[in-house]
Amino acid sequence: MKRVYPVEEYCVACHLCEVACIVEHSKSKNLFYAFSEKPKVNSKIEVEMEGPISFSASCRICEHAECVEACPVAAMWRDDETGLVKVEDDRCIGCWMCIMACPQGSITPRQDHDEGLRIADKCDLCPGRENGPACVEACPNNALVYEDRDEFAKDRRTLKGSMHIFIESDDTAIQE
Amino acid sequence: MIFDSINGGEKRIEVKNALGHRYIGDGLCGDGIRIDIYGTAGNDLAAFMNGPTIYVHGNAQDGIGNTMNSGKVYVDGDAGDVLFYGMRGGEVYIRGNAGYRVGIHMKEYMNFIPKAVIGGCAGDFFGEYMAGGYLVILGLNAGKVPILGKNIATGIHGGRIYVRGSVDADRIDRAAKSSDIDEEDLKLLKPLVMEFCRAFGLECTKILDDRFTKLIPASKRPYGKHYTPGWHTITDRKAVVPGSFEENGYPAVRNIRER
Amino acid sequence: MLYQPFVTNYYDFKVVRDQDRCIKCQGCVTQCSYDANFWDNDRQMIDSIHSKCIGCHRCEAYCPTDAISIQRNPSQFRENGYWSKEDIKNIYLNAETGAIVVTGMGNDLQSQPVYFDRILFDACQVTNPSIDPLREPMELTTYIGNRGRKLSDTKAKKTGLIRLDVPVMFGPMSYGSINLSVQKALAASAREHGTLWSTGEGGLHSDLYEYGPNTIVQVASGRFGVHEEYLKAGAMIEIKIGQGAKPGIGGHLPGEKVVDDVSRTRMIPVGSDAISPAPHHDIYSIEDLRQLIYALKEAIRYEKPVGVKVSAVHNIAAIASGIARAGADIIVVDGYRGGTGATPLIVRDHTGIPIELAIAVVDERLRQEGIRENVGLVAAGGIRSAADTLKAIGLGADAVYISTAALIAVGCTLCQQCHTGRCAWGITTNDSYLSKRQNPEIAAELISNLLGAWEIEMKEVLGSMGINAIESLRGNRERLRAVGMTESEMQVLGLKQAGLGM
Repeated sequence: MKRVYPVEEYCVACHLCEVACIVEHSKSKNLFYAFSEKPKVNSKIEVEMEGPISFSASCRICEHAECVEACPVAAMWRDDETGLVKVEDDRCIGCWMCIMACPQGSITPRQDHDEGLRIADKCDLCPGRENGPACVEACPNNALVYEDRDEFAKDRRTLKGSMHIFIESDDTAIQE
Repeated sequence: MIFDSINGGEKRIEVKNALGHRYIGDGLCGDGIRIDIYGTAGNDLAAFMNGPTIYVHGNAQDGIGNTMNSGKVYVDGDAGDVLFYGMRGGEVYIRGNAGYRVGIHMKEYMNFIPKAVIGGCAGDFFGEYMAGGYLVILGLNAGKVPILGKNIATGIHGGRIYVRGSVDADRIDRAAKSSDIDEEDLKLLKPLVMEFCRAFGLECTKILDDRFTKLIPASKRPYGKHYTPGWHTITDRKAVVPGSFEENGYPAVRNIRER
Repeated sequence: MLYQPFVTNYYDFKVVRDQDRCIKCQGCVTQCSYDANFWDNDRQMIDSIHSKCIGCHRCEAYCPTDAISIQRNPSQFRENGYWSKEDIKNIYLNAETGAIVVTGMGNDLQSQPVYFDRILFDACQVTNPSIDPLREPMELTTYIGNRGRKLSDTKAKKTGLIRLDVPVMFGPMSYGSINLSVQKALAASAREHGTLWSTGEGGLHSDLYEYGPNTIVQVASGRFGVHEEYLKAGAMIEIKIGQGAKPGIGGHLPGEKVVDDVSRTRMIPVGSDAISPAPHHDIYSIEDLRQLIYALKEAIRYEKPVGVKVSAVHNIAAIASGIARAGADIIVVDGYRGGTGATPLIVRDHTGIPIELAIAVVDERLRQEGIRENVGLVAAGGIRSAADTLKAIGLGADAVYISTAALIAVGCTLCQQCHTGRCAWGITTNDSYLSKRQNPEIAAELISNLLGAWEIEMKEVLGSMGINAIESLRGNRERLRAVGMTESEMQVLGLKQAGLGM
């Protein structure tokens, strides 16, 4: 499965990926209006900066999807066909359990008090976009790549649900 | 010819009747190789050399150890001008006097440290622009004559010079500061002087007991104030908007999620 | 501004920001390496300290909404045809600091003539048919070195010629003065196009040894990074006597730019200035130069050519003749419009001569003495386009060096702040934050494209002149004409006035 991977050695912390993400997910898609659009649009990719090291991090689409496991209303779910983890806006109740569960902090609260909006928000790999994810296209230094690195995973398996197996027996060893 | 024989596996070569023949040992590399030269070695002896040992049983001319990388050279006699130019490693021992501009821009990095010992006196511009290495001068035959000429250590920003005896302050460039030697210095100096004495059959305890002057750089950037700072550095942003920098000097930014 | 010295008031550029367009993405704040843009948390907006802006256009280029425009400071001194703003500002700087004004890149004065712009190519019409470069083979290949060497000279025979598939090489820009990533890109492009790039005086980084066959290794007066493996690694050794941007003085790498890796390659302490001595202290006469040339030839066993690079100065013809007779295989003449990483402004703008004149007189003198074929002649110093390349070849060069043009290809905007080590485009710095800005793969592609485009442009012009091999243009002054030049200028260049026939 293709994911968006950051290339730390080329990231110059220019934040263009964040801008592209916001514009792409806005209703108007208007570069000059997207940032002030209502309801407020978040960026699902965030530039981490610590000294000279910088890179842009978005949802890892984990094998063990903690966010899916954490969601009490199954608003966060995995599409078994594509392996992508998505958030169903209509079902999300804005409890932020997924945000706390995410090991990378890639899920953000999307709130707009004026519009009564309160849901969780995360990268969806820009479905239906012709040139692929907007952040990858916007990066001027090739610091984001959209590629499949699963061939390096020890064993390829189809991703289903949260991949957490519910342990029923007293034996605490995880069974597959 | 020397190159070919070394390529052929020879490890000991003798050059007889040398009369100013140049470029001996030039660019030679390899371990355990020894060349003995009888006569006067010409210019650029051991230039760019990387490993072999050369003994000159006689005098030598200019440019010894020019950009030498490693190896040893012993000259049982006097030597010429511009010795050790850009030397990067290895050792050179000159029994007699040397000329001017000795030890220009010697440099060092980690364990590549060039070392040179001169038994006699030397001329002006000793240790000019030094960036590393050890330069030792003993003035054993000096008598009443000053061991070094004028403009000593101009522009020195690395390395050290050890002079036996004292040096007139007005001969030393302001880029250098002089002091007496301490325990650390003695540890560095001793093996060099001992090797010098061993090679030329001299008594070394008396030499080591003498007073030495050490010259080291007064600053890493002797010409720092010479050039204007960058235009953008003249305005001090911290004075105008102090909060616009983070602690590590990185510009303060607003996180995209705080929008 | 409060607390700031008065000289800062006379800044050159204003960061004009359209606050309606600004989406406060922080891009300009992180991209400005000169600290001109800042996020004002109190006023919740982005603003700029104009007196820190040096006009590199990085923030403008990276602004997603095109909200920034870098403009000339509208506040001007009274118009003065004699005292320029630069003249006035330099006096303020001298007075404020007591120090030499340092700058980067090449001579930018408009007051001095550009001869390239006054030379025109001939084209074929009627009497002499053009050659169609799209359909017919055109050869840009040339060889540099001692073409006139005698078969009886066994040593000289061992030294080969250097083959260039395109008569454009990359000039010396040292590691330390420019980013290692840019050097990687230059090396990769040189290899791809069958030409050479030069290490400059900073030594050859271990990562670049694989490009050895396309590398010119330089031996300068500071002897940085010179050891016998280095000498053997390249395709050619170049002794640097001087450079066009600052004839007569040595190289200068300010301490700000000597970071850890640079310190290791140059073997000098971190943060210390790397100042190469003005002369090579072992070269005080032409015989000394001959001695160094042969010392190097001995060190590499005559396997590769040894060249000498000099700045173009008044006596360049006699100097070049001397160098040729001293045993050099290639002479590089660097004109006064050449660029550099750091130089005193005074020397850059007022010393040296134009490369057009220098190449013309050197070529003429060597021909007169019958030794033109014993050396390759390379022109350097402000070659801006394929047109300049062909004009330089027409005036007598075998090939040219481009340096500034190659840096412009990877983003340089000629802001002339190379000496600060804060290059916002990451080109002339190895700072850990800024050097990331040059992605070696992207840079290699850009530089490669530049050469590719120039190759096509050169073929077009050659074709229109009815020439199908670059060597037929070499020294062929008859195919060039001069416009707007005086009699003596045309005489020095050996060109006829446009309008005159064969």
